[in-house]
Amino acid sequence: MKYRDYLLRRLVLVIPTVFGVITLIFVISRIIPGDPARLALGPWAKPEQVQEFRHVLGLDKPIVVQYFDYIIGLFKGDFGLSLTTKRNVLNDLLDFAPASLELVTTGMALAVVIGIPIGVIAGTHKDKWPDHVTRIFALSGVSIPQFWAGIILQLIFAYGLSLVAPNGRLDINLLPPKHITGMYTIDSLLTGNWETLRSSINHLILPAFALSLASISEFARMTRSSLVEELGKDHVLAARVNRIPEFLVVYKYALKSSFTPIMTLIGLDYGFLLGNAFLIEMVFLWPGLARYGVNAIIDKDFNSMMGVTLVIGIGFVFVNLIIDLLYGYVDPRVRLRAK
Amino acid sequence: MTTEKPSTPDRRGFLKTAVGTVAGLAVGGVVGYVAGTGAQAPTPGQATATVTVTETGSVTGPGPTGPGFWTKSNDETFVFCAIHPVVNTDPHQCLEVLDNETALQAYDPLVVMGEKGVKPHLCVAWDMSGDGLVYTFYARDDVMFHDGSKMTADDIAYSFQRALTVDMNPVTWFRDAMGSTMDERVGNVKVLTASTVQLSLVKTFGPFVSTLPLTYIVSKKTVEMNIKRPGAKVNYKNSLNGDMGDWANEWLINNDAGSGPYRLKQRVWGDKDVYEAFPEYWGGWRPDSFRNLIYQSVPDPAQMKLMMQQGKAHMNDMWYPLDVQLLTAEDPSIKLYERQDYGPLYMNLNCQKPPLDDVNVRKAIAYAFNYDSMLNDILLGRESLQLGPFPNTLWGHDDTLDIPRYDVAKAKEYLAKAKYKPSEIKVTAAYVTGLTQEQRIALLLKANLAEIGIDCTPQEMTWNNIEGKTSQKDPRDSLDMVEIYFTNQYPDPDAWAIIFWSQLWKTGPSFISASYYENPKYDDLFVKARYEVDQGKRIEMYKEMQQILVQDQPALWLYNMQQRHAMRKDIYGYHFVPPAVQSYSKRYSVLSKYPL
Repeated sequence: MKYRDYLLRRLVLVIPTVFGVITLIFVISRIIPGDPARLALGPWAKPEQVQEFRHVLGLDKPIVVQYFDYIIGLFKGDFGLSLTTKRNVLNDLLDFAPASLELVTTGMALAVVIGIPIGVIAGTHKDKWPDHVTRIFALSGVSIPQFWAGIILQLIFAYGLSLVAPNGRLDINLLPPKHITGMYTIDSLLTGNWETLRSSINHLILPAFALSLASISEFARMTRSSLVEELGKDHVLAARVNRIPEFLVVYKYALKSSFTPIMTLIGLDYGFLLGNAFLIEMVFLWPGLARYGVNAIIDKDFNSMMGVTLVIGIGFVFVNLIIDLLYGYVDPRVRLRAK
Repeated sequence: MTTEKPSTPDRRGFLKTAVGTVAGLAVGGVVGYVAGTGAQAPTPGQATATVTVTETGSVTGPGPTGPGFWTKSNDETFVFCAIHPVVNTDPHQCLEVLDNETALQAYDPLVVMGEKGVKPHLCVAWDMSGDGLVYTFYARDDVMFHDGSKMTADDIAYSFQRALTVDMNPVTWFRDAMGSTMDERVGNVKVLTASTVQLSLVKTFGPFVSTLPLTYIVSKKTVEMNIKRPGAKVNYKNSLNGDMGDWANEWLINNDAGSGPYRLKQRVWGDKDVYEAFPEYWGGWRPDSFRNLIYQSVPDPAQMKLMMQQGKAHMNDMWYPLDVQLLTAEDPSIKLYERQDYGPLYMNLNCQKPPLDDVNVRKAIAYAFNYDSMLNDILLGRESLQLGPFPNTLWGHDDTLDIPRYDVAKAKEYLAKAKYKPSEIKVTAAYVTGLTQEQRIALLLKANLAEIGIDCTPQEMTWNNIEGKTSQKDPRDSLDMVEIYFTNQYPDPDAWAIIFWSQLWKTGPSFISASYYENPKYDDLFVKARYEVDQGKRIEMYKEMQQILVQDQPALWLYNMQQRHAMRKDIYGYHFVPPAVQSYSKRYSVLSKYPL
C-alpha cells in the first residue's frame, strides 16, 4: 500500500469516528433528566409556552428525526440554539474554541520545549544527580493538582512579583483585537496591534505554563526512558566508536529514533487538554471551551454540549492524524513499509 | 576503516556560545516586552463638585453639559466581580438577577423602587382610575436614547407590547391582569398623546405598579432597524404589531437600545460585559463617575478575593459564600456593605408526598431544627432569622406570628400525633451545588432530625436538576424537601404569597411551588388580596394568610439573606434599596472613587 493511500485511509476513518462521538453524546444529552425548554423560559412560563418552545427546539419530534435534523443542520452551519446564550452554538464555539486552542497549543509547545530537553538531560545522565532531580520534578508535576499549581504561580509571579497578569486574556481596559482566528496573540500580530499582543502574551504565559506542568513531566519521563533504551542500542555504540560527536549521537541518532512514543503522548495530551482544561480556565478566568462545556452540562444546554463534544472530538482526531503523518517523517521505516 | 574528522571543538564551541547568547537575549527581550510597564499611577482626582444623588439614582448638579463634567479623572473603570457571566442582555428576557442588574445600567423603566415604595422614573407621574383598572402614565420629555432619538409615549407603548409578546419574566407577574390572551394584553397598551400612555387591566391587580420596575423601555427606532425576519429562530407576532420576526432579540443580546447612563460597548462572551458612559444621560452625572463599567465573570471565590485585595476589582456579587466575603473584607482596603433584603430562604416541604403530607410530621421537623445554631454557627451571626412566610421588613409582615423554634420535646409531641412512625419517616433535603450555606443547613437538619428519630439525607443537586424535579406534575415524583431562596420578586406580599397558591403548581409546577401546598381558604384569600386595591384591606388578608401558613407549615422559615457586597474602601455612593433584583441602587453611575 502506498503511503498516500495510507494517509487517505486515515483521513476517511476520521468520519465514522466523529459520527460515533456525535451519536453517543446526542443520546446522552437527550436522556439527562430535566426539561431544557422549561429551564430556558424560567419558572413563570406557562405550560403552553414551554410546549411551544419545545416545538421550536424540535424536542417534540421523535428522537431519530431530531438526530437527523441535527446532522443535516451541522452541514448547513446550524449547530442549534444555545439555551444559555440564545445564539447559534456555532457562534459560541467560534468565540470559545479559539481561546482553548490558543491556551492548549501554547501549553503543549511549552511542554515540548521544556519537557523534552529535561528528558534528554535525564536520559544522558542516567542514575546521576541530574536524573534524580528531574525525576523529583517529574513526579511533582504529575502529582500536584493543576488548579493548586495555578494559584501558587499566580500568587508568586502575578500578585507577588507583578511579572505577568494574574488572569483573563487581556488587560481590563483593552478590547479584543479584530476577530480573525479568535486567538488574541495571532489576531494582534496579524492586525499589527502591538499593545494587545503584549497584553495577550502577558496573560497567556501563566495559564499555559500551569496547564503544561503535567505534560512537561510526562514528556520528560517518556523522553528519558525512550532515550535510555535507544542509547543502549548497537547503532549508537557504533556511532560513538566512530567518534561522532555526542551531541549528534544523542539528538540525531538516538532521540529521533525514540521520538515515536513521545509524539503519541503529545497527540493524546493535546486532545485530553482541549476538553479538560476546565480547572485552569476557572482559576485564570480563561473563557474557553472547557468552561463553556461544563456550564452547558450544568444548564442542560444540550446543543452546546454536542457542539463542544464535536469540536473536541474533531480536534482530537485531527491532532492524532497529524501525529500519524509526522511518524512517517520521524521514522523512515513507516514510509518505507508503506511503500 | 576510515572515520570522518569531527568538527573542531573551537568552532563548535563558538557556535554554541553564539547561539546561546542570541537566544538568551531574545528571551530576555521578549520577557521584558511582555512584562510591560505594570500598574499605572492613579490619576489625581478632581475635587468633587456639589451634587446630590437621589435614592433613585438621579443626580442634581452639574449635568451632561454642565461645567466640571467629564474631566480626565472620569476615565476610570469600575469592575464588578460576578459569580457567573451575564446570560441575556435582551431587556425583556432577563431571567437572572445579574441580567437585570446589567439591564439597569443601559435601560430605564417607567417607575423604580424607592425606600418607601414605587417612584416615577421615565414618567413624571401616574394616575389610577377609580375602579383600579386603568393606569395612565405621563412620560418625561427630556429622555434621550443612546441612538440619539428622544423618548415618546410611542416608545413606552412599543416596549410594553414587545415585553408582553416575548412574555418572559417579569411581564409574567402582571400579564394575567392585562388579559387572558396575548392579543388582548397588547391591545390594552395605548398611546393617548405624545407623552401619555395608558395600560388597562381586565381585573384589578393590587401589586400592579410594584411589578413594573423591571419592564424596561427600549428605543422603537433602534429595535425596528434590527429586527430579523427570515431565518429567525423564534418568531414573535401579535394582532397589533403583526409578524415581528425575532423582534431584534438576536441584535439585543449583543447591543442595547436603551436610555440608561451606560451603553453596552462589547460582550466578551463567558468573560465580561463592557459598558461605557452615555454622557447625555437624562438623569445627570456626578462629575467623578466612572467612565467604564465592566461585569467580570469570576466564578472562583479565591480569584475574586485576590482581585479585590489587589484593587483589580471594586465590588463583588452578593452570591459569593459568606465566609469568603468575610475573609475578603478582612483586608484593610476593603469594606463589607450589608443591608437587609427581601431574600428569605425556605426549606420547602412537599405537602403532597408522604410522609410530609402529615402536618404533624412537618411541625415536628420545624420544631426539631436548631435555628440558633444555624444563625450562629453556620451564618456566623451575620444574617437574621426569618420570622414567618413573608420577608421580615416587607409591608404586610405579621409581627405577631408564633413561629416554631428549636424545641425537641415539642417536636416529639407532634411526631407522636403523626400517622407515620419515626422509623418510617425517611426524607431527603436537597440543596444547590456550590452553595455552602445551604449544604451546612442541610447537614444541621440531618443531625437535628436524627435526635427525634427521623432519617434525613442531604442531597446535593445542580440547579437544573432541582428545576427538573420540582416541575413534576405529580408531586410524588418531586423532591421531599428543598432549600430555595426567593429573591427574584417584586416588593409586594403577593410575590411571596403566590408561592403557596395551589393553582401555581396545579397549572405549571416549578421550583417556586416546590411545597405543593393546598388550602382552599388560603387560595381564596390569595385571590381576593391580589385583586384588591385598598392597601389596608390587603394587609389584613395577608396577615390572615400568614397565620394559616404558620399553622400548616408548608416550609421551614429559615433566614432572611442580607444584601452583602465586599467593596473597595475608596468606592463611594452605594446605597442599597431592597429588593435586590429591582434595586435602583444597582445602577453604578452613582458610584465614584471620591466622596460627595
